[in-house]
Amino acid sequence: MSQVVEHRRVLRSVSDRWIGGVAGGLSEHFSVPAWVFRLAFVGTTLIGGVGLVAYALMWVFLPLDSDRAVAPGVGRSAGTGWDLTGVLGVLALGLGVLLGLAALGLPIRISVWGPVLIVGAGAVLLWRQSDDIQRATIRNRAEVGVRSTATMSDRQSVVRVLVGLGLVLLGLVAVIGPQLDLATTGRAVVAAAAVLAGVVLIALPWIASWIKGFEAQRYAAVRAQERAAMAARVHDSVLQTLTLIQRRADDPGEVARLARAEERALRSWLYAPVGASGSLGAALAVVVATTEADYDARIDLVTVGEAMVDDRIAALVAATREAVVNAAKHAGAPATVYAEVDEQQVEVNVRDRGCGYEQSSVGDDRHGVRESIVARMHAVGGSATVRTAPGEGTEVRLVLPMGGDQDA
Amino acid sequence: MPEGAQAGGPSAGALPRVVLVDDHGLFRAGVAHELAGSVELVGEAGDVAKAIVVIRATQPDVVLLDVHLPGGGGRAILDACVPELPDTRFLALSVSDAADDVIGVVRGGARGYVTKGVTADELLDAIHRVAKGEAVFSPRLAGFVLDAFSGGAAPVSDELDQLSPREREVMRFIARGYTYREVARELVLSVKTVETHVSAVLRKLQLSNRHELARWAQARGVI
Repeated sequence: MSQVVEHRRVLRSVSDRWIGGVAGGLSEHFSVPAWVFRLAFVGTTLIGGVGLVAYALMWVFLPLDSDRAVAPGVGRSAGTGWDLTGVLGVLALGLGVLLGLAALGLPIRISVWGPVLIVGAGAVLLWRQSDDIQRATIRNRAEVGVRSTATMSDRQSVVRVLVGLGLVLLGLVAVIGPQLDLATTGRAVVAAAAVLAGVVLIALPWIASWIKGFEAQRYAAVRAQERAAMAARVHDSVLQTLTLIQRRADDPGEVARLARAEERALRSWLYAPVGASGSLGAALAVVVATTEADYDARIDLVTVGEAMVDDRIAALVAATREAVVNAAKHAGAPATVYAEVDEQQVEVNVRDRGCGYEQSSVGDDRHGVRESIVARMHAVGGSATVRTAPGEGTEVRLVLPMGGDQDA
Repeated sequence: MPEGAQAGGPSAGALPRVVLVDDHGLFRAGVAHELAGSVELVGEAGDVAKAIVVIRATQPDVVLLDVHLPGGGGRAILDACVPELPDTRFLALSVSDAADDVIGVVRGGARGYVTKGVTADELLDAIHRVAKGEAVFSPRLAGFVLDAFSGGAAPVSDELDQLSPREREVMRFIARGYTYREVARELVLSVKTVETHVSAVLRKLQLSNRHELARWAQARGVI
């Protein structure tokens, strides 16, 4: 495990925490003792409260260290006793800030800052509660079945939430209270803003964890979708074909045909298809696939360059189909279809290494097929040549010039 | 057939010494059966780490290399073995003929690429050819080359970045399914000359900076 040194993000510590586990988490991440960070936070807090703000932000946005297995009892020990430490810590820190400001000669009104401290203490209590719920949830997810033992007691958590809420509200009222003698127009606005601020303060941890959870959910959904697509593919196509192959095990030709068709389908699904739809490459791929399926044959397709199918290229594809079918029917050997598109011309070459034949001894039917290839190509201004000899295989070369003469 | 290396030694005798690397035991068994008697199978491996050990121990003439392997793929084996074993040739063998797979292993140092659909005779021919230090191009690899080196794009300055007219012609015939011998007859060349052209194309394929090649190679090369 420890060999896999991966880049981890900073996590808030579960085991080493005074308030939110931020300093503990930073210490684990940077391998620097936690007290260094604690001192830094306190120190910078005294400088205009920077440390306090930084700490609060990290508390909200750094995720809890959920990977670490929490030893039994540690969760408990971080219960009420520690809450008190946290609350007292915030109060002490706040007091320190105030004294510091006072020492600098700034006017400090305890009627304003006292309530703020109370709000802070309440918020700490609530945020910690949110942490513990999150941790318990993670733990439950990890070990389903021991849920009830792993969760904190409900009564304890209710008390904590209530105390936290109470402190926050008390503080807010105390802030607003002395302002009531302000101009009546401003009063409602101030009250509303204060309540809103309170709600945001209370809800912040939940909002943050909700956003994080939402992201995780979306990721899981995408993965599930991919898995489903893969499963459907495997089930509908691959398993069906395997079943068919088992049934036809006594017919090698049919088995080969089925396997070949499945391979082609799977390949075009896994990798990019041979060409964009409507292109020469795609059209030839269809020709090859159907011919392979109809006649138990192996045909390789190689395309270089690409052209979109128009009337003339459609004729070329039709002529190619004739040639490919001929090769599949008569050659008794693998065939290669090679198509090349450049500025001047489109060329398709169908070649097999089969038996070939004596061109003069061709029967009427095959002569007719060849005529249909040649005639098709001539009709669109192209040419077709057939080269064959017994034992030499057969090669059909179809050329379609692509000059500026085809306006229509 | 158990995995692992048999005793290594200097290559002697007529049969090429071959190591077979593929993660599918069934496929290895099939190939071993097909090649039995025609090559000396000195070792097998099913993953990258074991393959590197076996190849180093046996120093074979030819390694039949699957492109997709657990532990880094065929490319990882090439990166580890090609620099230290100049006399061992690698022939990539894969079900996939996607451009990024092909170009990735060829640029990693493979002397050729054949798909697993080839017949036993074709495979044997490819092994002998690679053992002699020649290049093996399947029709589809020739097609890739023509596609990748087709004019278009930027003006090419480097000799490595374009094919000579003769090389292009040779590639065209190979893409049509011609053997080297047939290409030689068509172009009125000696077989030796055709082999020289193909090797030159392989070199360009491995060293050229054309962005099509870089793009394809990157998809697999940086694993």
